[in-house]
Amino acid sequence: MKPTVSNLIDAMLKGDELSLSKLVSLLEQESEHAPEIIKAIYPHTGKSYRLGITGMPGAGKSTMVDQLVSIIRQNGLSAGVICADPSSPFTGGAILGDRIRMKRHFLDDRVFIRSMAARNSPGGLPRTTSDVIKLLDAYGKDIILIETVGAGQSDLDIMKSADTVVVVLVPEAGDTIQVIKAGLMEIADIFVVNKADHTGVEAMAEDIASFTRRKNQAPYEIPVLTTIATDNIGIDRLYEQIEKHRQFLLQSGQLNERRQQQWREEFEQLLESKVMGSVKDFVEKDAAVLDYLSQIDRGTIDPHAAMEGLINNRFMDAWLRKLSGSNNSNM
Amino acid sequence: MDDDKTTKQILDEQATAQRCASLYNPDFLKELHNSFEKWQNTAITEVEKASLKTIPHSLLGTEIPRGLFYSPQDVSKIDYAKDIGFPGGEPYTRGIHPNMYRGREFTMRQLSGFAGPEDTNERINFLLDHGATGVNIIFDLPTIQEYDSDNRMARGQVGKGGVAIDSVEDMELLFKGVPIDKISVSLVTHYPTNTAILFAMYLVMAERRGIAWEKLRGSVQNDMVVEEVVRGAPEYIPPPECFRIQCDNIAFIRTNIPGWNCITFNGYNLREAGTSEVTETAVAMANAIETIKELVARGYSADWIAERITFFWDVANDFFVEIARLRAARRLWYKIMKHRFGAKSSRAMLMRCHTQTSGLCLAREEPLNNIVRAAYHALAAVLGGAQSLHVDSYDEAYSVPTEAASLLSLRTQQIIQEESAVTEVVDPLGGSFYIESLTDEIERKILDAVNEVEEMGGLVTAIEKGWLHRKITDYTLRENELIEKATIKIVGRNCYKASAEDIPEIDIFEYAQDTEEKQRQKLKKLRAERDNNIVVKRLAELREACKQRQNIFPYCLEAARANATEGEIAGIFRESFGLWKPPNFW
Amino acid sequence: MPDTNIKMKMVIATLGLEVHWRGAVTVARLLRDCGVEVVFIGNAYPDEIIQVAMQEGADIVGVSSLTGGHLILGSELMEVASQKGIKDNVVFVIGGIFPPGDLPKLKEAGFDGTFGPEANGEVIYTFIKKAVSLKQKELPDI
Repeated sequence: MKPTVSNLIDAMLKGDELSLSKLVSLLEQESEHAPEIIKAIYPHTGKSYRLGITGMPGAGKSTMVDQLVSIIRQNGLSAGVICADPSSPFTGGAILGDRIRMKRHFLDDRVFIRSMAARNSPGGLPRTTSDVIKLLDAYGKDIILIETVGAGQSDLDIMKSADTVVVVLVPEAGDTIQVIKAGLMEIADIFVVNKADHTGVEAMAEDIASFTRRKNQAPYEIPVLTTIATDNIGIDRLYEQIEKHRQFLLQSGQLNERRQQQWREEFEQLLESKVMGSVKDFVEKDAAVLDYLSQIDRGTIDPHAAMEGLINNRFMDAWLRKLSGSNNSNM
Repeated sequence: MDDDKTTKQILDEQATAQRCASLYNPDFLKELHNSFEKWQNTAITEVEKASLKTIPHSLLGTEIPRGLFYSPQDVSKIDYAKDIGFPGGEPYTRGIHPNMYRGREFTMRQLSGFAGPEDTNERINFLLDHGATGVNIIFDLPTIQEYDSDNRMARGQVGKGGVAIDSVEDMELLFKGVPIDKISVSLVTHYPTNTAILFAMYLVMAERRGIAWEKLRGSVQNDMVVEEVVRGAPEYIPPPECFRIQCDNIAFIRTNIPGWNCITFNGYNLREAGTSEVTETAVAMANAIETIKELVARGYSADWIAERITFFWDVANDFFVEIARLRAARRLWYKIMKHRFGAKSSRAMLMRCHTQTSGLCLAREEPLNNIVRAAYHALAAVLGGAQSLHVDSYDEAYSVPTEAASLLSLRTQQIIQEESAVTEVVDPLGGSFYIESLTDEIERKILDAVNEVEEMGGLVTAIEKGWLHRKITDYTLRENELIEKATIKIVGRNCYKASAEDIPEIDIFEYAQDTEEKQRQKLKKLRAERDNNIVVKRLAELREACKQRQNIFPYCLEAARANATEGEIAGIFRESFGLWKPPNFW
Repeated sequence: MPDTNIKMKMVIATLGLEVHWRGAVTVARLLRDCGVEVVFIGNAYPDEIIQVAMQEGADIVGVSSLTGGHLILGSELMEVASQKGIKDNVVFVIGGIFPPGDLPKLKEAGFDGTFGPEANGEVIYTFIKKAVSLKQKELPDI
């Protein structure tokens, strides 16, 4: 007898890991069951703490996540880990090699690790990652770690789902923070300079510190830490700082504010996506639009004039009517 | 020895400073060039003229272009004394000994290793009875990866692919009746860590048999490239520590077992993992250079160390390239020792090598074809002047060799030695325009590759950064593409395809099923009968030595004497140095 | 639902103490180039491999063995798969060097496919695609 989606959800809420995994797959595939799943789990969310780890490639993030998970487990808490990796833009495939650094946690039944690659979904990886986080939250994971490479906008957007964002950098020959993508520097709640046994650590830490001094908004000061993740040096302090940030967010009320903001943005994105989808659809089929398009092609009219023409011809009315499915011409 | 310059810089300076006496008269060369032009314009078509150079593609090859034929034009600057020389004299291109195989046959050193030590002992004696002149032991996966046969991680793998050795007792069983004081024994202890353990056990075995270490002859591998890059493993120690143990082993072995080769720079396994002969040679030499530098810094003489260094090369399909590479490696090693390390002893400048025919080049389809392939590889090794040879058996793509297949490999060598007259003349291909031109080109390429490694900060750094892993991965991907496109041809696979499932009835080696259980029982007995207090003490002393950065070898010896097992000793290394993971390289 | 989102996901491991990694990494890259999402975990044992396959929602599990451990560890892998309830809807393949006499034994143990050292990317991809669609045919709208 095959399980239904609601069977899976029930089993997942009772703690069945395989059901959790199947639900994650459904969300990743943007299955038509996705809204049903989100609806069912929504009441169970809001308990987990979300920790984002991002930064330069080769900075040692996966090793750091591995060490953090150990500390989390030592404190008797459960962990969910999402490793988000880029896919090949040409073939759509990917090699997901982050969890190989977390081997010692494979057989710990309180640690759930999932590798995710970008797929061609409208919302992309940020959308699906956000949904998977909700699942892990509902499942009961105390802390959810989300790891991405901070290379593209999508990776940065994923960090919007986190409560605390840790940005990990390494002192490579000659690299200063000038070469680092601006967005990466802006999202950090905590900076870590890893591989602190390499040359250039102090210079980079100082660079970052002067950046944060300009940026700091009292009462929270963004800390700059140095670590050697492979030797488990400095990770305890990192965990303390994360806890400190969490306390700050709680006490200042910002935790709730951020989460409310996240749900709000999600709604807006859904709305926008729905609206844009309809517009696209309409544009491809409406006669007046197509006519203006061929005028643009022939060069007899420019796009702005065409737009004016459409509005004057009550294009907007027709479209809104179509959208609402009503024939009310009084809009 | 100039530490600021790279090896290539030193050797290039040396080359420009040296006086050159070209073999060919410049007038002659000019006339020859005119004749060649005439020939080009009359004897061949325009189309043929445009494609005078061709690039052959072969498994594990480099894409070195070849001319249609070779003439003095291709070696116009060659100086016989400087570039070719006499055998057994600088620059050693023609061979490391004056009379090469007339004076000393190449050692026929077929690998033995499967099931338990008692079983492999039989095979060793079989080969020796049938004319093998050296012993070559390969260990099973758990022994290679340094876990005891009764460790959970060893399950299902004990005695497969090699012989299971857990303790000195197993070493004693392995060499029962073998005259280790009279015959050369190669122990394929791939890595620095398992060399420190297994060779220590070998030495204690010799002690117990009343054989003085001075009488022992043979070699260990002890190569960090194999430990950190070539092998896949659940646990690694960090490369700098691995390098340190590599040097510790050399220092101890060189000092205490004078007849033993303390390191064999292993190009073979790197090559089989997926690189060209150029990278294979360059990485081995870069390792050798870095090693000697370190040992000189520790106070040893470069000469003294180098006298007991050997190399281990792969011999694959491109026949003349493989021959030329051996000559190039000899000449380059001589230059490195002489000009970079200021060697005074001629023995220190010799590139002594063991060779093995390529396993990767042997196919699963129509396995008897592999007998022919391996024979050509073996011939190339002999024409190239190797000191010792293992010929892979035709059932390579199925399992470890049966006794019959193993014998055939031995006979392949004996036929070359006894029937072909190839070994009557030293370096028979020397002077060939093609071979000399190839030798020059390959030597240049190897030195360039060594330079690349040195400019990156040395081999240990290159390994830590994942450079070597990536090189292999990229190479194998490209090679795969070339095979799929049938640019690299494999008879029976993508050309002259074997029909459906052309696997004839050949005997396949059958593993004994009881090795794991037997080893388990032995270990139980060993642990019950030995003095465990002493074992604990010796292991603690080893741990301390690791921390205090002392030479770990003597401490491994003490642990072996106390009957500690391989897994127990390896556990101390892992504990003390921590574990390392290579960076992502796919 | 959009077809481009139905990706095949595969866990690739080298079995037990297997030292050779060239084959596994090459296959991982080739399949990546065919559009597969590969979770590469290096050296791993049956219980670890199955746990990873379950968490990752893998459609296929591929293991590599060249040094003789395939029968015992391979069987163990299939037993754990069966115990954990994923044997019937996940495709299991093994690649490497095996005596011909062992191939039927591997199939008996439960492997859907075996590949020798000459297998190429296209062949493997075609095989697993077909095997996945066959094995998952029985699943409902999920």
